[in-house]
Amino acid sequence: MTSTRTQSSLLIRIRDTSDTDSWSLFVRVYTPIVYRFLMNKGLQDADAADVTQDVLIEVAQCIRRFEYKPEQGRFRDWLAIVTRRKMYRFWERGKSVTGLEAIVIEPAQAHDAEWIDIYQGELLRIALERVKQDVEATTWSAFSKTWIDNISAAEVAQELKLPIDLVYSAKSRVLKRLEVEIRMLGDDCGWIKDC
Amino acid sequence: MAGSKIVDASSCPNGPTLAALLSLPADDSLTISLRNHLAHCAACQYRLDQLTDSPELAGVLERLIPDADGWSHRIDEVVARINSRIISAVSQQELSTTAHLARPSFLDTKDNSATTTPMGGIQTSEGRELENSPRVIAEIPTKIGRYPILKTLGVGGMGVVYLAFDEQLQRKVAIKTIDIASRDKQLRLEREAIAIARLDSAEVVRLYSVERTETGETFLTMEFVDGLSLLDQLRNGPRVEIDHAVDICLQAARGLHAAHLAGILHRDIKPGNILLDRTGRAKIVDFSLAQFTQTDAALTRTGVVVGTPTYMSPEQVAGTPLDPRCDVYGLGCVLYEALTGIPPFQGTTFQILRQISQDEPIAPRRLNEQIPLDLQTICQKAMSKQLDQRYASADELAADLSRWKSGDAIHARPTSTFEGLLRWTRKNRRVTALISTIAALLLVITLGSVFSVWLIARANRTIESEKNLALAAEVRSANMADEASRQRTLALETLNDLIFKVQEQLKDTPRSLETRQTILESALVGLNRVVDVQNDTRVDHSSIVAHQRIGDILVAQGDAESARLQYELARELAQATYQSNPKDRRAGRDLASSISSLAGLEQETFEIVDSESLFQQALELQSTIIAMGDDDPLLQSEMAHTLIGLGDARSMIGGSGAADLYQRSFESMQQLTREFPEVLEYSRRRATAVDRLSNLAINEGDFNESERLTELRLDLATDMIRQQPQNSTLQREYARSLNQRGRALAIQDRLEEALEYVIKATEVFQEIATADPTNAIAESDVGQQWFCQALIRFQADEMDQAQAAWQKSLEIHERLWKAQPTNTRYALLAVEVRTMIGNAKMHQGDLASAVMDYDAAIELLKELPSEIGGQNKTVKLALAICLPVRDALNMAIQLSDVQPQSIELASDAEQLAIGYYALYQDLEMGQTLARKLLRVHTKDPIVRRHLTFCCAVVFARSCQAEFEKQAGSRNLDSEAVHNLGDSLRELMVLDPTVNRNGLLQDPNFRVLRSLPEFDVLFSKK
Repeated sequence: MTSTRTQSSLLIRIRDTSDTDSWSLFVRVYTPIVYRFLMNKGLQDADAADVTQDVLIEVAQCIRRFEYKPEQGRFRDWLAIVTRRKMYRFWERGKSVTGLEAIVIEPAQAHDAEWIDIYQGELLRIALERVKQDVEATTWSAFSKTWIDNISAAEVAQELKLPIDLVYSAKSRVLKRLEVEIRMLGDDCGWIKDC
Repeated sequence: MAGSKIVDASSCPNGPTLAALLSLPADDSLTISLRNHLAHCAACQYRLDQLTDSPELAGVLERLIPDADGWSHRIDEVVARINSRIISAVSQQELSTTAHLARPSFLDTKDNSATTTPMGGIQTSEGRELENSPRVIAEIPTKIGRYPILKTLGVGGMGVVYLAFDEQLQRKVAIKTIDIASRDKQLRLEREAIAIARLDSAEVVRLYSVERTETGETFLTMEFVDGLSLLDQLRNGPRVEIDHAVDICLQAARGLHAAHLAGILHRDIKPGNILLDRTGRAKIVDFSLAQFTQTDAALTRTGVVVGTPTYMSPEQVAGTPLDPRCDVYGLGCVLYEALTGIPPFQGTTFQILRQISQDEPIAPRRLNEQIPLDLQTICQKAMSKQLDQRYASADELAADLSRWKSGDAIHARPTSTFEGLLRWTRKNRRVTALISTIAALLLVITLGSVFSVWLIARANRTIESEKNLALAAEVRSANMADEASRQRTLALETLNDLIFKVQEQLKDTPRSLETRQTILESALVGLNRVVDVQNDTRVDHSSIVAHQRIGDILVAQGDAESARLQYELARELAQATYQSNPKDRRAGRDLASSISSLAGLEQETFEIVDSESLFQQALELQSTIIAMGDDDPLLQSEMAHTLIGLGDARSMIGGSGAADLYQRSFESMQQLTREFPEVLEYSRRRATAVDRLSNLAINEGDFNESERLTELRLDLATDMIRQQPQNSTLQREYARSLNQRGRALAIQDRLEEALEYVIKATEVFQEIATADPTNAIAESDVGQQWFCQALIRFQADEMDQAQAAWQKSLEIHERLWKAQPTNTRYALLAVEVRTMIGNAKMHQGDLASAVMDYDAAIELLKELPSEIGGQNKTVKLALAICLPVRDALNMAIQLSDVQPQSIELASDAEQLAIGYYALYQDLEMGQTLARKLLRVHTKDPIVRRHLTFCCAVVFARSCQAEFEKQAGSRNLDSEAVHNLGDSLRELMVLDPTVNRNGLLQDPNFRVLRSLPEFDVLFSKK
């Protein structure tokens, strides 16, 4: 279930441009976040895909300057800003000057609850997906029934015919695994300079 | 792990056992009995549920967008589509940049054994900060000090927190690396740690040690609390329930109280410093740490330095000394945020600082109406800006919280309308952070100027920043301009406080002259900067007052010339302001005050005539402003002061009307004192008026009136000094009134009693002077008091003692004069003492010694720098008196062998001198006196000649004075010329050798010479 790969931050790994596996993973993880956000903002599917592409290209171009500098900000916020910027540009391209006035341009806020919800949610979704592939089916069932479906451990134990302690330990282990996974994928304490 | 197999309990297993079984490999089974127990024990299941919960992730899960639109199926398709396009775009870019691409060295992931420690090896599920897990695994050190690092727990404002294992004691510890600002702070932290480590409270995170790594970095080891901080809970978790919020704060309050009892303040209570363990128990962390670390600006969780002082108490903002109530305030903020979900104050640093000192936060119930009223009351009381309205201790807060929990009546009272009104008033008064700084620092300032310098530095910093803000505002938005204007107001208020309140408070404090001067000068620098930013009449007013007060201080230090400059600066500024807007009453008042100060200075240096006209100007201006409808009692008080000054000038010149002026001053102050009995300044001015009235009565020899007034004066002074025994101004008043009482007794020839009072007065004056050696006025007071004592001893025929007293007086004034050679006041006082000594000797028949004293007096006068002495009319007058007296004395000595009446002659000379004196001091009296003397002393031609000339001059001058007053009145002009003619004729009869034309060229006749009558009368003859 463990591999050293999972131990080091995805954001660090993608700085190595030769590591295409990591880059693919990055795209797999962050595309839904950006795309989903843009769809929420009312972009059409094709437009959202275009803008998402722009965002990810900018990430690719800037990621080498990604630094571990907690005092300067976090990747999540930076990505939010880039995403909004690209979105506004898209609007500008698409609309007439007068039409622009109709758009309420919200300032890019680091603490945009909508963004954070999507960011965290999509991160969790993919982490769940990935962890599911890594653990045994029974363990996953015990975990997902107790944690995701919120069924009591006693009922799950009965249903799966497992001793209750194993239900708990399955839940516990998967949760830990999940946390590690999320940290690896979304470790976001860092900032990209001058982008 | 095998050990857990032993557990075979029918009773519930303990916490660690439960935690351990979660990490057991699946094939490592438990005993049957334990399994059975777990399967049926709801309590154990509940605990296991808790242990295997991940609230943050659960929160995210809850908010996860439902998968209804088939999103998860479309993801792959979208990703694939985008991915292909990106890869081509990036590889194109790659081609162009690979040439200078270097792999950054810190990318090299350390093969870090600690990070690969299987999570199962740690018995709890840490690392719960999904959202705030700002760490890069590659950077985790393997060891800090002797402690192997297991993982990172978080990054805080002061450094990184790790989970480590203490192999010696076989326990997990939390390690916090901190940035210590200096070596000094390092040592202090180590000392303070001893006390903190002793804290033994379940609600305080235990500090184990403060240590240093081999490379000298400081770190703390402490109890590992497995859980979240309240901050994490507030930001990421589900909303904190009201009951839970109360529990957390109650426990934190207990922890704080325990620390306070040990003498430790936390200073940085905020949600991030309250840890909640898995059982929901609150523990406070980081006691006292904030003061040792490099940045007091908090690193927020977002990793952005914002320096938000959200949880700072008003007294911390003000920089005043802290006590446990500071932490009570912090906990109040925590309660507020836990209840409402938002911090009490938000905004930019400046906005928050201002809000903390001025604004009440939004009432919690307006943010969450489910908050019970009593709880809101508790929260507001804990967060009260005024210390005395806050809970006096964390214990009291805890007590009220637990009363609330158990449904008992709480002790805090809700804010009533009245209190609300008070708060409103306070908010709208000029109360700001810096102002309270000043108020609290007042006491400190009196101890030394270091603090005042610090204070000023603060004020100037504010100004600097507001200036930057203003500059920024020009290019930014109107909002920023508002902010700048608020900052400017704040700065101005600070400076004003330096000028007004601080000075007012320090005025009566001994030895504060230099400090006050420094403060004022710095305040002026600050004011000039404010002027740079914007023209503002408030600034002018403050500058005027600052100049005035610097002038006052310089007067007190005896530096009259520098003082004059300051007063003149004040007058110029006030004049300009007043002229630009004659309706500006404050500018008019400022102008009057500065003129009045100048007048007072002229009087100090015996420029009486100038002084009189200046006081007259000030009085007219003040009357005008009162006529404009200004009924400010302070203005009336200022006018009463002017009346006194004018009265003094008139009585020194010898003119009439002084009594009326004093009386007016007295009546106005009497009324103010009745209206505002609490204002000491009014009482003081009333007493001054009584002092002057009694002085007149003494001079006129009015026994009854002088008796009554001096007794009243003494009563008033005694009353005031009882209220403020340490107030040096009032001490001075008291001494003066003792002396006055003595003088009143002396004119009744009750000399023994008189002496008692006068000696007592001398002692009090001496005390004041000893308390503040920098105050020249106090020393001069002592000198004058010795002079008064000598006069009474002289009157009592105690010649030796009188001479000794005069000698003391002389020494003091000569010393003062040497210290301030440009101050004519001291020279003249020394001359006066000299001549008195001479007179006394003359009366004793010791003419030779008397001549020597007069010689010395004349020498002294001649030593005065010509640019000063030559300008001063009193100096001229003194010379005019001393020279003939000395000549007369010399003449008397020569004649004494042949003419026994020579002493009479000498006293004639004295009379002559009096005539001259009258000439300058009191025109009318001088005229009368001269005529009288002329009738008596007809025998001596020389005396006659002098007296006649004197009469002529008196006539001329009195007319000249009239002429100046009512320019163009021909009758008076011709009368003056004719009087002069009569006098001259008489003079020539007595002494045919007189050079008439030479006399006519005398400067005294300057005005008369310009008249046509003069030519008519004199040129033909």
